[in-house]
Amino acid sequence: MSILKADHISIQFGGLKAVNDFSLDLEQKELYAIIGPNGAGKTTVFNMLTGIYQPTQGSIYIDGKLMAGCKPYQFTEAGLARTFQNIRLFHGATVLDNVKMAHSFKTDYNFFNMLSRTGKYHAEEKRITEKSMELLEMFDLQDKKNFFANNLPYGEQRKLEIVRALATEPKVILLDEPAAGMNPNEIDDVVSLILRVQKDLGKAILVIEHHMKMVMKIAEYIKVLDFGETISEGTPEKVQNDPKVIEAYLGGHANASRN
Amino acid sequence: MNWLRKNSEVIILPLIYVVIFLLQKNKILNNYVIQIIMLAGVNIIMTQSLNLVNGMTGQNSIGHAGFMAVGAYVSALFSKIIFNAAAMPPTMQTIFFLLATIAGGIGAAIFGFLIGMPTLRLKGDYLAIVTLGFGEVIRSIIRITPAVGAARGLTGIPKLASLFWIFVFVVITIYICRNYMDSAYGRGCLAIRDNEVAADTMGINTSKYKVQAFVTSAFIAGIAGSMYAHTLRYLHPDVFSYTKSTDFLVYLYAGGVGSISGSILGAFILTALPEVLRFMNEWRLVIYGGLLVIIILFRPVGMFGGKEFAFLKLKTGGIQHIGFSNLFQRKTKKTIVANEEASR
Ligand SMILES: Nc1ncnc2c1ncn2[C@@H]1O[C@H](COP(=O)(O)OP(=O)(O)OP(=O)(O)O)[C@@H](O)[C@H]1O
Ligand SMILES: [Mg+2]
Repeated sequence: MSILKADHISIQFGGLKAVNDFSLDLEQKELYAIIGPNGAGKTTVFNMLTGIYQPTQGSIYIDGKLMAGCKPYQFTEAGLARTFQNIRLFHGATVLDNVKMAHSFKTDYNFFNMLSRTGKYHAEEKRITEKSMELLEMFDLQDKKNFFANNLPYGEQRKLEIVRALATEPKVILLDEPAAGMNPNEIDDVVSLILRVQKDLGKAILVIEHHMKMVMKIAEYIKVLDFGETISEGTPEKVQNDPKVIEAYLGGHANASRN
Repeated sequence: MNWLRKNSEVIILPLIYVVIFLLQKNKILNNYVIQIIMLAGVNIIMTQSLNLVNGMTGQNSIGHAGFMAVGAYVSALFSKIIFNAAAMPPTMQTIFFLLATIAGGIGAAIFGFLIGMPTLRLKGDYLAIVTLGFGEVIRSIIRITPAVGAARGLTGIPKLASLFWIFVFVVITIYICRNYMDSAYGRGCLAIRDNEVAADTMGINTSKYKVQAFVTSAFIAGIAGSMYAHTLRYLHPDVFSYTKSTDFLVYLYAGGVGSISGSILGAFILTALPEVLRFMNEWRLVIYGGLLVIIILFRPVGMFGGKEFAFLKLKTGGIQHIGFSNLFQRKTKKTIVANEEASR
């Protein structure tokens, strides 16, 4: 069964049709990518898929559940997590707390347990801390647990965003340009990290990325957006050789194809 | 022994009380000074309350005296008009004082809910406008309500608050705020403060967390109101004006917004300072204002911003982006810009 399904979604900002008639059907452990020139509407698709924007047309299903009218936190509860193109960490909190914050909605003690610090509070806090540490260790961030998020190097901030998203225990994870601004070595790290999340943790992944080599290597299926329209889709080989895609990239966006 | 060393507050906190109490008994501190200390206690409770909203959740309540007014008047109605606690034996008085205080807290919490529910759902600074309006509306309503003394004020409230009870409520408030901050509930609020969109996408029901914190804050402000009413024994609507709300904001931001210890020390120092400087007559206000300017310029995160007393066992730091420092270019801005450029 599909984990994330977008059924002909469109969104309009005033007169601008930012995304038109976008569809997607993502199943367990699948890795899809969305590519397209700057301003094509990729992030806008993510914002619709995570409930930040309501599509003006079409509907979204997570794990078979229709998400119409739901708030972003309900999308997360339904099993979806994401990272942001412009990093949005909780910069006033430590690395460990960033991950613990993503556990908040799965915490099982009530307001009065919290105020009076009952045994249940202590047990739950211990569980959350251990789980968060486990995740940090899995991605080699355990030594930095007491760093403040904005003191991490740029690459590790991106990594922490992925770890934090995983902490919500999602079925599908959306990555918005996880390798942006990284050098080739760092990109290799990101690739292996993404593949681990997919293969070892069994998450479905939808990734937006400008680095073509990377996309061609990891994606099983690619959707190409240009001016909000899906101009091509299919396997990496198919998309790569599609004249429409080449034209979209060369038509004023020659830079992107060189990446 | 080891346990005691780790939990030294079980000795230190009672010791502070005993010292003040002994100084009072031996007439080293006169009643006037004791009254100032009691009012400082009330201000500490109020500043803690404000810190839950402005410091922990990153929302702006700028009319907090309104909740204090509700607490003060509700509790005074309870102990003076409904139950006439003045004519009771001492133990009953204590019980009714505590009941009146809880009634004041609940009254304020109800208003907190009614205000928070519609406004905290919205993003942006609607809360500031609405709380400001609320403070003024409450004051105007009290002014025209004969049952609570209208514009003459409410007199003859029994003197039920004491140094002891105020001390107890200060300590309870500190622990409530500490426990709140260092829990999933508090972390949710801190996440909202740091990045509301990210908090939302991490599964945090932002309006619920904000309303919870705001209602708790209003409840605590109501408690402070009851302490105030039963200390001064006289309430006048104009006491709870916008100026009063501003005082609490000054205590909070000068002390260190986001820091429990900063709120405590800010409230205490800035309540005591004008009294200490009283010998300087009109110059004291100049000094007070000058001190604030110095804090803003040289310590924009507040005197104790990013610091906590060890006994609270709280994490510290990470506050560059709040406090007065918001008014100036942030230190972190450079890195943010660099990141954004890199991400293009
Ligand atoms: N909230 C909004 N209001 C108005 N226009 C918007 C809004 N959000 C996005 N847009 C517009 O929608 C279009 C698509 O933007 P989007 O951010 O989705 O592009 P993108 O494909 O992610 O580009 P990039 O590769 O640069 O990240 C742009 O023209 C943008 O200006
Ligand atoms: Mg984008």
